Amino acid sequence: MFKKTTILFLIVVLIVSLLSGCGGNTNTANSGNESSENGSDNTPKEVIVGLAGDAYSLDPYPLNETITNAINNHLYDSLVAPDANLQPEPALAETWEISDDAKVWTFNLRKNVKFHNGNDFTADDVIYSFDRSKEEMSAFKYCLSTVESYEKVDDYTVKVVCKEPNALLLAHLKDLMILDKETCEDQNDEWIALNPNGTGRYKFVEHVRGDKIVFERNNDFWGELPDVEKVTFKPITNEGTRTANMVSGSVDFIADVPVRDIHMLESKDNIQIVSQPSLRVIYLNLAGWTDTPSKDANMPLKSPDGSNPFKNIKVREAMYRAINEDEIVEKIMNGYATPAATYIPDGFNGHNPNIKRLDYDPELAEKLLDEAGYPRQDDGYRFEVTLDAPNDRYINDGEIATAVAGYFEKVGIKVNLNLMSRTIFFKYISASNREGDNTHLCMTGWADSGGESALMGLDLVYSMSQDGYIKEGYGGVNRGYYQNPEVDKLVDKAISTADPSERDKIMQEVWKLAADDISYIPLHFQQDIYAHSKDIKYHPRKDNYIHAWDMEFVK
Amino acid sequence: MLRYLSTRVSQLILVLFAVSILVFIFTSVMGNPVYLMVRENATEAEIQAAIEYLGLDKPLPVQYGIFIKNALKGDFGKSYIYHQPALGLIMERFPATLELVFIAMLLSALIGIPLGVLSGAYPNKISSKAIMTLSIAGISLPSFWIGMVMIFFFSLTLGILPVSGRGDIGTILGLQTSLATTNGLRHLVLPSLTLALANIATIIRLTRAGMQENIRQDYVKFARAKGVSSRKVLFGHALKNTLIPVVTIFGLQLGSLIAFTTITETIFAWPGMGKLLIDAINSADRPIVAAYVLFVAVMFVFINFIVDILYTFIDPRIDLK
Repeated sequence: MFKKTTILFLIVVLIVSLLSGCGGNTNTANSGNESSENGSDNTPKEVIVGLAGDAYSLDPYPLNETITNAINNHLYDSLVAPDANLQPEPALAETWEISDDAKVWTFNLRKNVKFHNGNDFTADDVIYSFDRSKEEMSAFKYCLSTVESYEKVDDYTVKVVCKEPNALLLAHLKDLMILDKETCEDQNDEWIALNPNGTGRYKFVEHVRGDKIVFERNNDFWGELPDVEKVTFKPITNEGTRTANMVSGSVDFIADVPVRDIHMLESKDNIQIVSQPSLRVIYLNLAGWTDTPSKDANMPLKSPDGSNPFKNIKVREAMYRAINEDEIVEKIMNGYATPAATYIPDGFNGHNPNIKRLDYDPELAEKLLDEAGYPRQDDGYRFEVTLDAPNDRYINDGEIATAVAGYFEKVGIKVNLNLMSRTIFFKYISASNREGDNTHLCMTGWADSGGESALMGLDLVYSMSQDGYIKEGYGGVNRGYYQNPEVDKLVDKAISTADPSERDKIMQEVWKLAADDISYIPLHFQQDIYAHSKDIKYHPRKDNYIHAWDMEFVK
Repeated sequence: MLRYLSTRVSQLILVLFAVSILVFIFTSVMGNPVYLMVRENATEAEIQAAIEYLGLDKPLPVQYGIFIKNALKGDFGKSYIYHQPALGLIMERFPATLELVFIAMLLSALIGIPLGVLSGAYPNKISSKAIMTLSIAGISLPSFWIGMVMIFFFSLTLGILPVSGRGDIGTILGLQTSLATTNGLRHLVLPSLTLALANIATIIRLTRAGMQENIRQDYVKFARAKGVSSRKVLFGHALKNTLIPVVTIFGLQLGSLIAFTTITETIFAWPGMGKLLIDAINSADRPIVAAYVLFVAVMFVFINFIVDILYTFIDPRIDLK
């Protein structure tokens, strides 16, 4: 008996010692600047924000994801920062000049800027951060991919030379956050992520992964001080729980409000709902510019005569007209979506207001399909397609795809619905997927926070062939293999045009061409929906980034 | 005893080996992390670079070899999305889950066993019937629903408990835990109750069945005839003989609660391991999933070992050989 008691005792001791070893790994700032003692008589103006997810890393380089980026924007600054409409504004670079051939950019850096630990900000930090963006682990390698070289001219001047004329450099540079060279130089990546040191509006206080991130205002910030003195971000993944937190008042702000809770939240006295169309457009891509739309696919496109029906613009128009988008918005999106006519949202540069949605008209659609040479066969179907769509990526994506499949069936197109998780979807539909099983019809979404129509043109409608790039790096998400040399020429021209209004005009033309060719079928823009307490006022951004300095206290 | 220990350890090694192969195969078909890491319009060169950076360009057996080699050194790789060591991320979340499970198991034992004994001893009383009906409800109601209902009732309607999250953390005996602060305890109530409900019900039913069987045995009648108080008969004699299956189930449930509190943790935004796991699965973060499953396997073997030792306390006739 004695032996057994000893064993039990030893086990208990073992467990306790193991646990005390692994607990307490919370990561707290070591510079103990207690701001609450700075003589203010009021409690700090604090905001608690409930988000749909956590920041994965407080190192701004390894991951490029909305929530992580938005949180890191509090700590770090870039040379230029996008304003609420995504146009570049001076940040750590006070001014800049472009050479006449749009190849050489010279940035004059802001003086007397200090990092949170007191170090001075200089050109060396810029060069160090640029270098870091090109390292293996970085998710921001693309930012400088068009850049030939960059160098420090003096302590407050940096010169960037592009490979080709590039008027859109700023749209990429705004993604590169500036780290302190002295702090980070001799440390490994893990350390850098746990000890953030930037020049941003907020200083790091505490990060308990999965629970909360706490920042306090950086009172030495170089620009205008934000109203909010302390901000806590809480990851609350469950939609219902997020809403409940808002109702109970334990958070002051929530993002990604579920559509079904909006009405209930609005009925509360102290809660305000803010919503605006997002940049996220949901659309269909059809492989209409190839004779072999689904090489080696398990579920290929089948037409009676073996041709690719998508090549015929009448078929594309018929499919466009077969979809009742108003019904999708009303029934599936509860009214919280905006029907789209083009990839470009209203208010974004290059938006062409003359592009209108084709009207819903299933009868005309049937007529067009007949004319195109695809009459209904004995089984009642004209041809058979597979619609690939994700079911955990966009708002109600599975339901939307199911509805679309239903509309197609009504006009006699047999649809195999292929819904999958995003962990396999994006590889499957990738335009660079060379593993045989290509998509010929997919539903997906796109949101470009770059704020540059020309870059969207480069990605979405620049010619791309099924066998690979026509121009390296261009047309990366042109999943229908849309090809139009005129579009290519105009996009090239826009990229080297420094004058924004000129660029706008060129891009308006591009979007008109792409829409007239029915190179894709737009569905709708998702809505960004926020709820917050009436004690604060919130100015939402187009890119859905949530920043504490976009909130202000009403009183 | 030593021989017993050594068989257990060799079993552990076998289990871990088998589990590691399974995990590796499943996570490699689970999804492709590369396309979630790079931007959607990434060039082929960028994708290729990412694949090489993760080491996914090598054939699967080679990847497995590298994984095992590093795992033997205690290195389970860096998470693809957190860019921190996978095992460290799990251990960092472990205390939060453990305190939740600890309270839930405590509730299960303190509520489940006495109620089970009573309803077993007096099956015809109305109270016993009520207990049994409630226990059916406890088993059948899904925890995601119970969790939401509890939030609605206690937090929104009554407003007496916090909705979600882990509260303030204090220190007891060098352990950092929210058991040490009132605020922390208040945050613990709803999630641990949600987690405990199904277990309480199981324990009640199991104890009751055992009690009903034992209560008819001759030794119970004899004890009663001898004039032993009825409390002593029930809790001292009969209960002790029904405990073996209860302890077994208790051990198994403890393991699965620690490992798979996913749903409760997601609903209550509790920063524990379960939430880490589900996030990792959603983003095809193989190092975390692999480390997690191996960790859970070790834990199960360990818990079962403790259960075996407990048997010898409950029933001295059982020998560990």
